[in-house]
Amino acid sequence: MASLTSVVKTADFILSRPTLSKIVNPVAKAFVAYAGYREMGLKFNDLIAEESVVNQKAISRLPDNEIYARNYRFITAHQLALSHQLLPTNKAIQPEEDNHYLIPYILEAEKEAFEKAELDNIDV
Amino acid sequence: MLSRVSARSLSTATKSIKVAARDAPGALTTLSVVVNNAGSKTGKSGVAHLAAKFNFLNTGSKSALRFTRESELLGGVFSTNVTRDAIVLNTQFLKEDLPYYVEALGSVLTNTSFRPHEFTEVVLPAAKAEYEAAHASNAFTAVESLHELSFRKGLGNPLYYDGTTKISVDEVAQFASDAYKQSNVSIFASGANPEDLDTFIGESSFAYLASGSTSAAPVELFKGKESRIRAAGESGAFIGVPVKTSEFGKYETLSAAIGSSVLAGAPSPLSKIAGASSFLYKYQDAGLFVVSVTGSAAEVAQGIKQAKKVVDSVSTTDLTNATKATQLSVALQSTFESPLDIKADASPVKLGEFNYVAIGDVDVLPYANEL
Amino acid sequence: MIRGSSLRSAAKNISARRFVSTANAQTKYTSLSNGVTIASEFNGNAAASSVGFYFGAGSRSEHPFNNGISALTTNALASGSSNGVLLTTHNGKELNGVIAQTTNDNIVEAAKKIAAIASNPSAALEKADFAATKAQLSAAAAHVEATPSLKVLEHLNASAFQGYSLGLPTLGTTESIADLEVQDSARFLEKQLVGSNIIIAASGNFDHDVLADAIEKELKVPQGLKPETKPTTFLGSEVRMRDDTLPKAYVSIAVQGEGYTSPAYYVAKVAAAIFGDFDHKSAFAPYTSAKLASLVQEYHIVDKYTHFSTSYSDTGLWGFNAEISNIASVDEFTHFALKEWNRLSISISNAEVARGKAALKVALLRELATTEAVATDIASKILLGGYRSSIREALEKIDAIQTKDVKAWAQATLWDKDIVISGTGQIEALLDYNRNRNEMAMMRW
Repeated sequence: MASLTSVVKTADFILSRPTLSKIVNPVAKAFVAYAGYREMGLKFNDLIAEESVVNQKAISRLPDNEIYARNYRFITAHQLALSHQLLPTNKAIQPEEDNHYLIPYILEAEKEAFEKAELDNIDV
Repeated sequence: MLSRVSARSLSTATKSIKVAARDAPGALTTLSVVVNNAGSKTGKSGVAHLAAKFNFLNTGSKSALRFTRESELLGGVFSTNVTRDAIVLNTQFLKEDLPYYVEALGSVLTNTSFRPHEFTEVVLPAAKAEYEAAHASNAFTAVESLHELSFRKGLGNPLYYDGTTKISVDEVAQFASDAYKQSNVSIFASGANPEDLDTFIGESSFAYLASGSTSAAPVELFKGKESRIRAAGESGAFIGVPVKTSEFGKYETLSAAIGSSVLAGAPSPLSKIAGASSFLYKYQDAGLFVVSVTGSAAEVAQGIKQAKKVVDSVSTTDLTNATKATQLSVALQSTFESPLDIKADASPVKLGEFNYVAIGDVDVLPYANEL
Repeated sequence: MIRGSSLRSAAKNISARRFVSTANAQTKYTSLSNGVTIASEFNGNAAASSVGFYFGAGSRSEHPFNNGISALTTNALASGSSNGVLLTTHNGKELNGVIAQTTNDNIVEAAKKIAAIASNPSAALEKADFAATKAQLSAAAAHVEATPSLKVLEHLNASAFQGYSLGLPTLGTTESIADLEVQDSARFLEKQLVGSNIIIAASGNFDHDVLADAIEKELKVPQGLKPETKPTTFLGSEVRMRDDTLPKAYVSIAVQGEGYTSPAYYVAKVAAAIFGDFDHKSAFAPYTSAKLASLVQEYHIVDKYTHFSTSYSDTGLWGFNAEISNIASVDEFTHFALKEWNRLSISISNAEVARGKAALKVALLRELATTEAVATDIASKILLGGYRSSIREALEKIDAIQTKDVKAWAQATLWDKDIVISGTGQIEALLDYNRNRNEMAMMRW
C-alpha cells in the first residue's frame, strides 16, 4: 500500500496548482458526499485502516480526548448501522468538523519507520 | 593537576558558558556537560529527573533513533543522570569525533523536542525503572530519608520522580527552558585540544543557549530528627549530620579516621563492625555526613551503637594520624568534572545533635535516644 | 553515509595534528637482575597513583582441595593498609595482585610497602588476621553463588573446562575455603613467588625511575622459573541450576573463545561488540543498533544481555549472558541470539563490523579509566600473554580487521561448534542441549 506520506504529498501538489485543484476539488467533494460517512457520524480519518503497526502506533499517541471522541464516533456508527438509520443533517459531522486529527500522527510514525528502515540498512 | 584548566571567553554567543578542557594521553575524549541548579533540589519534586531522561531523545534537528545509531557507529557512549545539584550529560568517544558530540550536546540543551509520545513511551517507564532499581536497596531509601530530614526542601527533595504527583510534559519542557541557561552550564572536556573545543562550541548549537542564570534556594540545616521505615530486606541504621561546605575538611578527616567507604578494605575502627562505614555526601551548598551500619537487624542494632561510640570517642591524635588517609580519600573522589579542593582538617569534631533513620526490621532497631 | 560525516572529516585533519602531541603514554619497563619486570605508565592527569605487585597464579594453579588459596593468600597479604596507602587486591583465575593506591607524591611509600610484602610475604601473612580474611573470602564466594548473573558465569566456566583446574571458581567455594590454613598459603607462595612469575605494574602521575629505584632497593624475591600451566580442553556441556524461587531466568551460552596470545584476540572482541549490550529498561533501548536488540526489544523477550569475549592465557570463552523475566521466552531469546551468531559466518554487513570495531575501541579505552585498571591490564597482558601492545598498536590492529576476517573467525570458531550452556532461575523454557546445539548451524548457507 502506498504510504500515507506519499498520499499527503500528492494532495499537497494538487492543492498547490490552482487548475488541478479546480478539477480535483469538486470530484473530492462529490466523493465525500456519496461516501456518506459523515451521516454515519464519522470523520474521514476514522476510515483509515488501523490494522498496521504504523497506524496502531499513531492511534496510541492520540491525546486522551481525541481517542475518546473517536471511540464514541465508532459506537455511534455501529448503532446506526445496526438500526439501519442515518443521522439527521444537523447531527451529521459538518465539513468543518471533519478535520485530520489522525494524519499528522500517522505521518510522524511513518517517518520513524522509514528512518529505521534506512538506518537498519545503512552502508559505510 | 588542573594547570591546563582555565575559564576562557569564547565567541560572544557562548561567552558565559564555563569551559574547562585538558589534553590527556590516549585516544579517548570524555566530554561532559553539567547544568547547575537543574538537579533534584530545583523545582517540583521529580521534574529534574524527568527532564534528564529527555536528554539525547528527539531534537528538532535529529531523531533519537538517528543520534543513537550514528553515535554507535562512531563507537561513542553517552549517558545522562540527575544529581541533587545538577543535570549531568556524559559522553566518551574517540578524539576525532569531538565536533560531532559537541553539536549533539548543544542540541540536547537547546533543541530537545519534548514530544508528548516520548514522555509516555520512553521517559516515564525509564524514570520509573530507575526509581525502582534505586529503591530496591534499603540503604538508598534510608539515605533519601536522611536528606529529607536534614534539609527538608531543596537538597531534601527526592532524587528521582516517585509518581506522587502528576507532572505534564509541558512542565518538564518549561523546567528545562528555565534551567538550561548559559551561566548554569559548564562544559568539561578531558582529552581534547582546548582551542579546538572552543571553536567547535562557538560553531555549535551551544550558541543558541539562552543567556542568564538561575540561583539555588538557600539551604537550611535541620538536626535532631528521626525516621523509622518498615521494609523487607536488609536492615540498616543511619546517622546523618548536615554539614556546611566550610566544614568539609573536618568531616572528611573524621570519615577517614573512623573508616570511610571510599577507603573500603583499610583497617579502621568501623571496619571492625560488620557492615559499618561512613561517607560525606558533598553538594554545592551543604553536605551530609553519614555513618551507617547495614546487615541483619540484630547485627545492626548492636553495630550502630558501637559505631556511635567510635565516632564519639575519636581523639585529636586519631584525626591527625588520618591526614594522609584523608588526602588519599579526597584524591580518589576527585574527578576532572568536580575537582575537590578539600584540605585535611584535624580540629576536633563533636557529633552533637544528629538525624537518624532506621530501616528494615524496625522492631529490633534502636531509637536515636538509645544510641 | 551518515550525516555529520563532513564534520567528521574536517575533524580528522585537526586530530591528525593533535595525535602527535597526545600520543598514548608509553609504558616504561625496567628489568631487575632477579628477573622481575617493573612496568609503569605515566598519566599526568591522575589524582592518585596505583602500584601493584602481581603474580601469574590464580585458581587455575589450584586443585579442588585448596581451591581459593590464591585469592585468600593475596587478600591476606593486602590487609595492612596504612599511612595513606590503600591496599586492594585483584583476584583472577590466572593472575592475582596486591595493589597499593596512594596520592601521587606518596608513591615511594607505596612502592616500599609493595616491595616489603613481596619480599617477605611470610611476615605479612603472620601480621594478617587470617581467620578474618578467610571469613571475608568465604562471604565473597557465597556472594557469587547468591548473585544469579555471576553464578551463571562461574558455572559456565566450570562446565566448559570441567576436569581441569581452569574450571575451578576464582574465589574458591565456601567448603574449600573452610579447610585452608596459613601453611597452605606459605606453600603456595613458595611455589609461585619467583622472579619470572612476578611483575610490578604501576600507573599514575609519578616518575618511573623513582618507582624503579624504590622497588629495586627493597624488593628481594628468589629467582626461578614460572610454574607451568597445563593445557586445558573445552567440553561442550550444560549445567542447569533451576531455581523457581528466583524472579527471572538467567542464561549464559558460550563457545570456546580466544586466549591472550591468539591472533584472533581482537577479532573475537569485535564479534562480541557487534551484538553488544542491551538493557530493556534503558531509555535508549528502542534505538540500539544491533539487529538482535531490535528483534528482542519490541516484545520484551529479554531484560538484559551482554556479549563477552573472555580470555585466559591459552583459551577463552565467547558468548552471552542474559536475564529474562518473561520466562516463557527463554527459548525465543536463545534462538534469536544463536541465529544472529550464524549470521556472523555468512551475512554480517560492513556497517555492523564497523560499528563493532568502533565500539570495541572506545570500550578498550574506557576500561583503562583508573590507574588501578591500567596497572592490572599491564600485568595480565605481560604475565599471561608475554607481551603488551601499546594502546595505539591495539587500535591499529582493530582498525585492520575487515568483514572477511570476522566471517573467517566465525566460520572457524562458531559455525556448528559445541556450546556450553549454563542457567539458573526459572529456566523451564531453556530447552535441551541438542535443540540449542542445532542452532549453531543452518541447513542453508
